Amino acid sequence: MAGYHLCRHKTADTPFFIENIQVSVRTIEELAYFFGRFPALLDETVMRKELVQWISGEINLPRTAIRMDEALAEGSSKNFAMPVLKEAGLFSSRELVYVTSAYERLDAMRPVARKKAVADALLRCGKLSAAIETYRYVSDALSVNAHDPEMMAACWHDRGVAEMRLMLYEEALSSFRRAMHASEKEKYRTDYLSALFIARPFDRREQEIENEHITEEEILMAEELVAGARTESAEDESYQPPEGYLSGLTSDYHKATGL
Amino acid sequence: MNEVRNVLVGFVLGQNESQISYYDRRAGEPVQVPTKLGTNLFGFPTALAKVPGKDEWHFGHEAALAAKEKGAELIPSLYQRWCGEEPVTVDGEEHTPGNLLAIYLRRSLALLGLRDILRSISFMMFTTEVLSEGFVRNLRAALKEIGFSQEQCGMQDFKESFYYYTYHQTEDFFQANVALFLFERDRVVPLILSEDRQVRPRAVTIVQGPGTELPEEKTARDEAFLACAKAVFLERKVSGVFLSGEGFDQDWAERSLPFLLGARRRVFYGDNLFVKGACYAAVERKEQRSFRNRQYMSEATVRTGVGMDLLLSGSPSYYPMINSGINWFEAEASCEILLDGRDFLLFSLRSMDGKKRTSRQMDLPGLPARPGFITRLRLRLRCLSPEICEVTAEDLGFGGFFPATHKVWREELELAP
Repeated sequence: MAGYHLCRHKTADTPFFIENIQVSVRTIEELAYFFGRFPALLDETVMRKELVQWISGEINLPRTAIRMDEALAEGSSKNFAMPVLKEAGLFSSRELVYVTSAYERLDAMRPVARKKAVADALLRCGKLSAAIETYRYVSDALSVNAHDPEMMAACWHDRGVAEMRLMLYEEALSSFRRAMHASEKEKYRTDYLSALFIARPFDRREQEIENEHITEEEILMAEELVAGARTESAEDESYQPPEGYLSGLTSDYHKATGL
Repeated sequence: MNEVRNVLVGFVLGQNESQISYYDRRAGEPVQVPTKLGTNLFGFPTALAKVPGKDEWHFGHEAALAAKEKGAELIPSLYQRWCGEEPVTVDGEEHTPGNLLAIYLRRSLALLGLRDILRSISFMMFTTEVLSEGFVRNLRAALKEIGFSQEQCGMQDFKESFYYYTYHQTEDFFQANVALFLFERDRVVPLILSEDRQVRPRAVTIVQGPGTELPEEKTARDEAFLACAKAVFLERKVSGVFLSGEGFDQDWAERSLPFLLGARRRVFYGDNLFVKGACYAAVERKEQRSFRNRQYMSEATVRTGVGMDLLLSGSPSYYPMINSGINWFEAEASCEILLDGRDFLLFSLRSMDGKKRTSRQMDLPGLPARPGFITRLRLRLRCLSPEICEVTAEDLGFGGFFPATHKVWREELELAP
């Protein structure tokens, strides 16, 4: 949707604190942004009476609050979020359909997949330690209760991304390696190689290359990828450090999954 | 006083004299407030005095009396001080011009006999000879100090009060042009109100004619005024005449007065035109809005409106911020918007008749790079003159997601469509 957006509603004197991402919001637009961008994070720490009261008292939207209160009784995260999303007017009708379907897909997910979605959302909003912790919980649950190698691989991979961004290079490399072993998808191998070339200096890669049977062709490709990322970094001051390249890959992945 | 709630007030702040009126809804017209109950003394000197060593201030007639009897310090050139910036030392204490004006207004408004002026007055229109930048600033500061909100008060010059007074007369009075002869003891200045009926809304302008010196001697004085009136009437048809100020007397106007009354013209003489005009303006602004088909155009009128094309609840709309047709010193607006990813603001300018439109871009250098709709800006617009609008934009960030930098951008937009 193009065009400046007029903020019509009151800014709260007292902010509402979103516990799971440790962020305060003061306006309906900020809350709508959270609901629209991170549906998976709409958990019991957010869906509570205090937020309904805040919408009514601080933002001065009693009608919206009534609808949220009804949704609270139903336990429907979609119906809880929709009144806020519509009132804020930030999203086009097409985007609202997309967000609605994201909520519906979340509702249909089994608990472990939903937890993975929570971890992904935490990763996307930069809550890296919380994301790593949640990925750990998901991988533990998967190894005990379910056999789902693709989800396991995705879980390890995304955990690796979070660790990489925290500069926990050895841990990240280990996570990428486990993702690569869990799934044969080329993407995981490529990201593992990128991480290896970022995290390890030249003289400390040999053993890893030998153990993982990395070919000359793959080495060249990884070198090109990392060099490309470094060149972009040097040319563009706002460019992320090399590990940003990996997070870019991950965000593409999340876009594809729609969460 | 018949009114105790939603009181509409007209207040003349003249160089030498002040007057107050309120709108009597039962009578349907402004009523002047006497300085002493039961008397016909309506005007009071624009004067303020302080008794030394005490927090005792006197205004109006009492100021000179207190100076004489109690040794109060009379502030010289009070009105001129209200137009300036210099602090004034009274009884060894420094006061800003706005503070002195607040003291004067508080005491003057007590004449209305209202228990709580802030709650009882719904709207108050101030009128003065010329609205200089300094006077506007100090009057605003004074009203703020007393506790009035911006929505509760307005200000206009004598010409605009003349406009409001005229259009509250019967229609035959303003069928053609209306002339006001303003007497200043030995001088008379004609003001001519004309209406352009070819445009919608009808544009009303007031032009000032050349002043004429009035000799002391009666016959010569009459001749001089007659010549002045003839010069005014020669160029245009005049259906109504006002005579106001100090210096006119029927005793000497033997030839000029019959001339004014000729051609079925109606003539009024009085010294309450501006105070009643201001009161009518308050009525018009707050309640009646019967002037919709007319637009007063003065040197202070903003002739170009400023707005933005915005999304209102997701639908594209034009959002007016500064409306054309109002006085520049009253043209202020503020709002908060979310940027859509662009690093500039685009304002839409529209002429008064809506025929000419253009846009002005305001760049926001150094704006943090953020995705669309997550940069909240507080915009403040205020006119510095009828042709210049100052815009300030402040980065408010986006809650805890993107902290505010509170960086402020300022630009002056030239208002010409």
